Amino acid sequence: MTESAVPDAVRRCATMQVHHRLLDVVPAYADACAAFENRTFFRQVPARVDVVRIPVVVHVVWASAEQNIDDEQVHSQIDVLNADFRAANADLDRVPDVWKPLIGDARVEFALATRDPDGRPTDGITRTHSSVPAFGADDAVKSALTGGSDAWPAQTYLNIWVCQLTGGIAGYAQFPGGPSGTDGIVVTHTSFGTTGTATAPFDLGRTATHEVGHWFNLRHIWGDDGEGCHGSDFVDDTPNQAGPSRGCPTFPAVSCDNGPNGDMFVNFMDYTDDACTAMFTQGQVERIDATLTGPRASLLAAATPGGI
Amino acid sequence: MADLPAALFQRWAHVDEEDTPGVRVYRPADRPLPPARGRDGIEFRTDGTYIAWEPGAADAPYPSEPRQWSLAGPDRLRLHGQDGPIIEVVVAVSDEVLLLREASDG
Repeated sequence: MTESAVPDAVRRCATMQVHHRLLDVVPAYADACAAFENRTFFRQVPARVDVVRIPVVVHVVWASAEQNIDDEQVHSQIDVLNADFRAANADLDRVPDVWKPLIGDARVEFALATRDPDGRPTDGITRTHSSVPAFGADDAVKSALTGGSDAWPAQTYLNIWVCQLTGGIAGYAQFPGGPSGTDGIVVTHTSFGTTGTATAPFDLGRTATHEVGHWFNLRHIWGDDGEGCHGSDFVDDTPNQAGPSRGCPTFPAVSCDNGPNGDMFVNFMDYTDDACTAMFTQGQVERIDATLTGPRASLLAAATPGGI
Repeated sequence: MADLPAALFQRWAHVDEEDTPGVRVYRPADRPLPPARGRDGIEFRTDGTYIAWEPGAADAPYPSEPRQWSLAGPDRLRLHGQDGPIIEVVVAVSDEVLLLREASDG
């Protein structure tokens, strides 16, 4: 949903809580953020027709054999991303009828990279045996100097790190416009893919779908204002919603006077369990489109056939 | 502070699925815990401040500015937050778990 007040693109970006660290430590980030939000808001271009295929590198960082997830689990996650970002997921019928017309096909697909940054053949998976048994959300997993694995160039690849996270975090992401050395998403191995160590209720690969949504500049559907009704995800076709949904709500779940249909808890950008999320909206797809013509436009070139 | 166990002074993650009526359960945030879509938390420091942790907009926990806490009696902490002070009862604390209950008379 959108705020009722006149949009202020600079304020929108700068007030987002997660941006504060980057705003503090990376001066150029604030400028990039404001400029990009302005372009997104005033963007008046036709929707992209072509399907974009994003090269992906999955960095498996492990300290125990269990954390060294097998290739099948990685591939199962790529399959989920490809279904979810094409509105081709088998559980679309979970979407209540009132929201089915809003379902958006992002026309984005994902493929494990076939060439590494030096042009050598690769299976798109790096494996790093680390002495760190579990990582926090401080990006240590993204650097070899701190027991992790260095990012591949962010202008060419979507970096996904898989490790054991501390503190009960399923995953986290970095929005567009941040430092390239930490760009990408991180998912704890038990919430990654659909096989191997993936464990219910986060065993259907929707943590990565959610985090890649952030990587494309999507915001939480409730607007990141706690349980308030004033925050916005800057998308018109998602209902105003108080706080995050938990578990698997029953339709309708009403908050913020958003009846009769209530919260769109089936949206990938809510906090619902994997089995109960199933859709992006067309408005969210517009934001993804804006990202792919803005701060992540370099990926369009990387995605050309015969590229990477 | 001398009356409070040293174990209190670390960063805790709220494991809400373990909560019981009126009592919130926290586990050390630097260890693997059952994953969740965002956990809040609290970090007590010996200098009289605490940090409230909330899920950030891209899911990494995000800290509040340091806030003040003070003793409010045996096993009771007065936490000064954005909405005024509240009294939390430290029901139990060890290296493994912290149990907090908001006092009804706070």
